[in-house]
Amino acid sequence: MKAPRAPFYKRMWFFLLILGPGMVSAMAGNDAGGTATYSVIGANYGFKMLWLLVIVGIGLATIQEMCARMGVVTGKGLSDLIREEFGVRWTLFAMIILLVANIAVTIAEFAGIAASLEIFGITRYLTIPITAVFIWWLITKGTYRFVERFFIAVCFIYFSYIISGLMAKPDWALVLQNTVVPHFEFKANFIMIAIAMIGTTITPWMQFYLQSSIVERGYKTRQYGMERWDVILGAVVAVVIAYFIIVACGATLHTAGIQVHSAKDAALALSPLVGSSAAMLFALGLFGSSFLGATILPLSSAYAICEAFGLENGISKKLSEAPVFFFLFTALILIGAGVVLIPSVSLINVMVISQTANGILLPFILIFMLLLGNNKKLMGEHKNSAFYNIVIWGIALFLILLTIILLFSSLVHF
Amino acid sequence: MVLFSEMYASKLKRVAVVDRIQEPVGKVKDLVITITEPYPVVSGLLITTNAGKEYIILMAEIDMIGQQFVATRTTKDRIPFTNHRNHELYAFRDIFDKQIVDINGARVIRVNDLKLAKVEQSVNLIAVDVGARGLLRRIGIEGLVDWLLGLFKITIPERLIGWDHVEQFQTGSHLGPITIPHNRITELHPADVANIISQVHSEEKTAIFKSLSDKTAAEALHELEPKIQAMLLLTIDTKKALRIIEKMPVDEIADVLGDLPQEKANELLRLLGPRKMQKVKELLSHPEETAGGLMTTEFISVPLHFSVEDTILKLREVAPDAETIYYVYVLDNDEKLIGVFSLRELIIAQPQVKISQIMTTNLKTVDSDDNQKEVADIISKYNLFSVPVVDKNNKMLGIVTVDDVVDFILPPISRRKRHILG
Repeated sequence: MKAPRAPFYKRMWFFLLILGPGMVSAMAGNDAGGTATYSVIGANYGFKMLWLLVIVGIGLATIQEMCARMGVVTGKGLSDLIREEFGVRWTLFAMIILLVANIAVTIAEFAGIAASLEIFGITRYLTIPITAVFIWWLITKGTYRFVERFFIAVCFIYFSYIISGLMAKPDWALVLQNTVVPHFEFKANFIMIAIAMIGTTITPWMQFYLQSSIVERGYKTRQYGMERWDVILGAVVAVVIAYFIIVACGATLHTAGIQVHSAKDAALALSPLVGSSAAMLFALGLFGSSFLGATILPLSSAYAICEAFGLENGISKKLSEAPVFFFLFTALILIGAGVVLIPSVSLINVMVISQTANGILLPFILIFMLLLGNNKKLMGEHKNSAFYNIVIWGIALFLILLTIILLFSSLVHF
Repeated sequence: MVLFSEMYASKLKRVAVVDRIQEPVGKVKDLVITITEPYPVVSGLLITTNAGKEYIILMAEIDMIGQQFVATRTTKDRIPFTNHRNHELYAFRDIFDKQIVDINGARVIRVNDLKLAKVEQSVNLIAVDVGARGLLRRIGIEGLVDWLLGLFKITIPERLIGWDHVEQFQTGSHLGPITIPHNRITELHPADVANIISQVHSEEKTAIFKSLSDKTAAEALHELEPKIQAMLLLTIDTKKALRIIEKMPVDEIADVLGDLPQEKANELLRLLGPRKMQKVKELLSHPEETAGGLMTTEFISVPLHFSVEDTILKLREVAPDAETIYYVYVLDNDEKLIGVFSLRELIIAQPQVKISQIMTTNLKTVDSDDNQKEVADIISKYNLFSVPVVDKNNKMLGIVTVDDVVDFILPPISRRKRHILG
């Protein structure tokens, strides 16, 4: 029995709009890998790669919208749809791709946790085992939802990049010029970071996560208008933050000729705003987003895989009832934490390279999604328009092309 | 006629079809299934000819079915092909990889493979493979994995569920009207039905819910998460919603209506009639997490001057509507709570005895503002079926029954937040 609800809903409406599934997955997208990749891009190339971010932004909004639309129209998650439409073999293929990509991202998240706490001077050999155990405990207790909102709130720290970017007084003419004029280098490093930029903004796991969240909320096709705005707004916010991370890093690190070798270096981009407290603020934001990611990713992977194969899943199940489910998220946490504990591993490199891996794997998932989004039987009148197909095929083919060039360049060393 | 006694449907995919004299005709694309009780039969094969055309060959025209090839009765030019029709039920297209309900386990599972068996002259679909073995077979590595695990003396067990123990859904991908009634689900316990509803996709949620009787629907509804409750009530028509709600105790009605959009809630309240509307509104005025929010106003009370016989007569009259009759409360003229006696005490007493002689005056009560946790504690500490809720002046407002608070101690599975992830 509840107090009459309507006024409550009215009060909550604004909040729900802000924190719909689209917004949550976008905020979770600016995680350890994202922050590191954008910082390195800003530090190494200044504003020169902003044009690509604009294209990636359009791609993100389009892909997330398609994903949400599929969830609303079919009422099924992405792994359900892949299984039902493509059968067991293709599902196995898709799930291996997803698992590899998610392992890479989980490693990046743990690297983010380690890097953020090292700013406070605590060694990773202490922080990583403790957080890994804590995350495992949160998941198995099913209490992670309580902390989820808290950590999403922490992610709002990233908005400070916008102010910091403005206060750093970049050369706006140059920024604008680089936003619209493409710049490309046929060098392995450039291509790797370009793939990472796409792969960290548009991740495979986010598509599975977003579509399931949409299905879980039970939106009906006629209510879709509102949700569409949540998804598009989420994409816009994510890209605006990424844009300002690059601008802030470009205006501070690049002009000073500083390369990002550790989280401390990346934190300098916030110094125009908060001066010497930049490291603290950066560490807090990085910790929040990395912790959130390190909790969501193992769990999200375990759900997607178990659902695709019809295996028992769910936190409320016992270990003996859902052994694969428990094994999967536990293994992901162990691998994520384990890799970061290897001595002499550069945390920044781990964060960036994992995003390149994501970018290389993304086209496969995108092709599955495109085939589903164009399936008349499933989507009816809501199937993709020509614009969507052009943009998303464009992104997928561009990534494949970049990957081929990267492979070629690493063989020939040009 | 048929070569096998038992085989898996997946083994027939892309098997060559030849005619009487071994001339190639095409390849098996799908199996046409006709639903019959208790086991569906394979009524035909959908084949792709070498020219790329799709036809159905009815089972009567087929001489042999095997894992190596399928042979027809006549020669190629004399096979009576039937045109491919979309509204048929196809095994690979419509059953493979889809969700079904395991009735005995009351859970939702995915079809990995189907087991076919020869029964007299027809091929029947007898069981669903839901285990790892079916997955490995589909991937094509069943033999390899068997051999590898065999080295360690491990065997993968078959996990088959008889077709008579499953329920298939009418998935949205059908173009034609294939109606599969949810008979078997409706026979389950409402709590199991709720568990299944919470696990399936939204379209199927509504389909299952619609097929339930009003009474089962009412009981299942209460077991579901508020979000799903609201979704279901909004998708069925108002008349059916009203019939379902009328079957629910007022405290549960208040629960459910509290989660609906105001307009819809008001509409249903109006239709419920003034008496129930008043009660529900009263309940809605208490905050959710207090005793007042948990209680039902449907309890049985008698005035102090009643005899045992009077009480039993009254019970017969009102019991059908009351949520619980295990306790009878004694109220004075101002509806203040004086005493209580149990059904047991009532029945063992002589008819002429005054209730004042059998009642207990040392009552455990809770205040309408008390927190739900305190209410649960009192009920569990004193092993009560229900506890009366009173206001500041000891006026009796309602009762909280043990089933209203058991959720705070043991949340039911179907209400546990399933998840929101991948």
